[in-house]
Amino acid sequence: MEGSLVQATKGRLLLVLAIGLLLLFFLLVLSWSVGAVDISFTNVLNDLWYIITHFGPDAHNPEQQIVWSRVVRSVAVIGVGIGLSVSGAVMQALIRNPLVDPYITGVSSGAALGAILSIMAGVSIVALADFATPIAALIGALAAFFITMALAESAGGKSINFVLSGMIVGIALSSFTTIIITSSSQESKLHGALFWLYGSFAAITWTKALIIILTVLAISLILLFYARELNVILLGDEHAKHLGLDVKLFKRIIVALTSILTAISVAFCGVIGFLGLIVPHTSRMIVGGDHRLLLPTSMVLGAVVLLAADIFARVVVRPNELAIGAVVSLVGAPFFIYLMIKRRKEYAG
Amino acid sequence: MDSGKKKIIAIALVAVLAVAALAAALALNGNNSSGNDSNTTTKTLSAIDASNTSVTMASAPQRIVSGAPEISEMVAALNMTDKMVAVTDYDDYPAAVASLRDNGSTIGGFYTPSYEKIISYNPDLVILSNGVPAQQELASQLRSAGYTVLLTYEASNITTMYKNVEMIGNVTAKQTEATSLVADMKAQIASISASVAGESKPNVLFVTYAEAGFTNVYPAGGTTTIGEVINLAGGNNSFAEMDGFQMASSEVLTAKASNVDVIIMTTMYSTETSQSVTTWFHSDPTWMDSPAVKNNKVYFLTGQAENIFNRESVRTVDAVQLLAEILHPDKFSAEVPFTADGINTIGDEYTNYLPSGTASQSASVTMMAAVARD
Amino acid sequence: MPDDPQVSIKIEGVRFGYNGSEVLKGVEFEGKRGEFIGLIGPNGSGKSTLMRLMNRILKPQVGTIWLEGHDLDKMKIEDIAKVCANVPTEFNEEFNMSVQDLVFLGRYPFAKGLWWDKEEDEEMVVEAMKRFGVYHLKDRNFSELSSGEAQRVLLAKAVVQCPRVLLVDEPSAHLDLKYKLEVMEHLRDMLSGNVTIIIASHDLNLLAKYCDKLMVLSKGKIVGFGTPEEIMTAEMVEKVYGVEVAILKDGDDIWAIPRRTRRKEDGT
Repeated sequence: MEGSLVQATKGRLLLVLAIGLLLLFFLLVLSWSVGAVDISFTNVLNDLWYIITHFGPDAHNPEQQIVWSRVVRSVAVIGVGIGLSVSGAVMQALIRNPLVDPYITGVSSGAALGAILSIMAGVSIVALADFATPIAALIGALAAFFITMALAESAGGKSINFVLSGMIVGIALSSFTTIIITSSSQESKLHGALFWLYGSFAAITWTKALIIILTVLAISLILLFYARELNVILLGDEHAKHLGLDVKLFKRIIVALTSILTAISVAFCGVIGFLGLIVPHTSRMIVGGDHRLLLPTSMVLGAVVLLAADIFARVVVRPNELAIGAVVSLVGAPFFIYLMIKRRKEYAG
Repeated sequence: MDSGKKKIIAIALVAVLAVAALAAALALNGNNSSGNDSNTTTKTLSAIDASNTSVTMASAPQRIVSGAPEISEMVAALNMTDKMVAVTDYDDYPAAVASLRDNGSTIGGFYTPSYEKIISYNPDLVILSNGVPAQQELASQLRSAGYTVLLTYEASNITTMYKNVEMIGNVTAKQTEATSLVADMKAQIASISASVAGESKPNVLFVTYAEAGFTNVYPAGGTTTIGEVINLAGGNNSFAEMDGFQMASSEVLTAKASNVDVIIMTTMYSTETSQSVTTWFHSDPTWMDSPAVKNNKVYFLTGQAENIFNRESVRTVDAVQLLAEILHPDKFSAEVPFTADGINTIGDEYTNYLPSGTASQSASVTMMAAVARD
Repeated sequence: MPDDPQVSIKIEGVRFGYNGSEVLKGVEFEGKRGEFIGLIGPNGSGKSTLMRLMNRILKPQVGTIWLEGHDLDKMKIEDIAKVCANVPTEFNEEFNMSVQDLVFLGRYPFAKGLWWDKEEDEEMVVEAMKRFGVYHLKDRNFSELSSGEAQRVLLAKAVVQCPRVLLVDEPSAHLDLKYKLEVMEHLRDMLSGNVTIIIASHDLNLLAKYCDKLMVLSKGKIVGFGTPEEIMTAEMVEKVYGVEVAILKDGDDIWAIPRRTRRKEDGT
């Protein structure tokens, strides 16, 4: 009799995680070494050592300051990469459709509206100035989520209702945003607004990065606990009930958690599209649909992909930066088209 | 819940708390490493900047980074070009600043300055513009890393520009120079206004952007610095009722056409050549009858001539002078050349049309002296 | 509340309707432990509705359902899943799930708190897959299987749930003859474990051959409950199905052989 099935699954997970984490580590070191200014690898290590042992960079050493700012940024990038990928994977299970992305509950349009309002208003109350836009984005995101939920529930609470109401809320909020942008007379603010809409990690501080990574990790861990339940729900609502899952309650919890996760991923750095769609997809191609494998793989792959995109965005036209959302879309769109064509039979009907 | 799950949760929570603690420690320390040691030296160099922050320097700065051409011009006018270490990609005046850009001492664009590049110059003072969200965020990033940052006010009128000059002077130990520069500028403007007082005001249409066929036109509204310049120069802004820079409705433009006496167009953002615009004006049924077109009082600004209008900085005074000479040529001895059947363009040579002894004249003298030195 | 431990499932005075039209008009019966009960009746008689009431997908508007002495309505959904398993007719799915992953899901009611499955779970799953002849398909994608293979996988999954009550809805709709019989034989084998099986089907003869009891549903009411000998009469079939048949007995087996549909004088 051959080896245990469960052991084989565990083994696969460990292998994928090992490779992924190795890749992640390599990319991290790379991201700390390159940017508008080049720093040699050995210098990076020395700077890092100083930073760790002295709890912070030397204020009078510009190179250390730069390395530190890159470390902070990489933390945020990893946080958002994980957050969007996990949300995407989970929403795909919930709606039982692999073409779904984490913005399906209208969260991104809500966040965008909140952020744009804040940027155009030019809020600069000293104490909260830094956080005014992210807070506004968060409020917008959660408001959009609640509206979507209320609409979906009142229309029947089925998966198709979620999708439709998310779409409607998203489009409605986007049009508000468009009106605000096109009727504005403030050119300088417009640029800021547009940059936010496409995603940018330029304004990340240590506090913000911490908020992102801790929230993302905490919620991702909770979602990981529900990996089995996510497998069950793939069978369909009725079937899942037969197996003893309280489907309605479960969906509510999951949608709430995912929306917070997505909102946090979007509030500080803008809307980065496609990641929540292609990472879970690719992960499924590597490890299959069992969420005990899929979720951890998506987490690692999401971090890797976004980090790679960030490095690219910072280096290609330095010292200027490309909007990271645009970079991901540039790669994501053709990749997604390829996926659709290759696996066309799965999406038939 | 199973004990296995509980264990995992416990471990996870402990890990999270541990990380949070370490992180908090780092965060606290990160904020403490401010560049300014708090000794008991009296700080005479301080100002409250546009973000309501008190900005102080122990001594005059030696390594200044500027985040906008407007700012660079102010710093240069206060005789600090030798203290400047980096500027934006768009900086080009005066010559000392242009050479900084030319030899690569830049920090990126106006909307996208690079944090890393700024830091790499090890500045002791970074001056950024509060009107640009990206620069606001950059300022707080730099501040939490311990750098001294001064945010200038978004200047939509000349008074605010004076405020910016004085603010920079206060922080850079150039208070006297700042005060006298502002006084000079005020005096000049007062003199120009006096010269044109009582004259009838021609209607001026100042176009900052337009596309082929005179569509998508963005005129300067009444609440802009350019609008103020028009008034001070003894003109009447055709779009005084507009707030800021907005796209003018084509109907409104058509209605106003017969009342426009002078058209000024900046060409920096234009997709059209002055030749094609002129041809269009002369062939369009509405505009060919406009006084401005009939009298060929259409001026195209390029290079430094448009910069003095687009930048709310020390050369705004020159903009007032130049425009006043265009609107009321008989009131001034210096004159802007005018051709009745060609295309009127004003470019870098605009200084030749200003009376000698103006502020920018002396700046350009400094510039020429600097060039001669090299 | 019934005290009799031999009673697995009991339905009392249950009525149910959709949008104002009543589908079940007062249904009562008792299923004893280990009984293999066949639920027959024409379309529209309420068979599927009754099945869905028994696994609490639907709730009766009037009446009570007792599962092993507990009021079904008051039970927690996780507890129901530990007693009662389902084999559905339709399986509509867009996702790729391997056969083994699917069968493992049958252990979910008992394995909820754990991340990985335990050894005992794995043993059960492997044995069930072998028993239903799908072990060689374990790594195959479920959506690629034939209907027959899929049906057997679903049976394996239900078995792995160690149910004491098993509800099977139209299991042989997609199967060819050999598998139809195999499925029934597998189900009957489970009786030795004291599992009460309620199976709904159109195929009268199949149920008559294997079931201990037959329950006949017609226009929302139970019009007969007893052994196949008692139930399978020409009158019953004609009245309920509107088909004229001849009843044939061959040893223990009993068959209804259709002659022609009954016609009324007015031609309907």
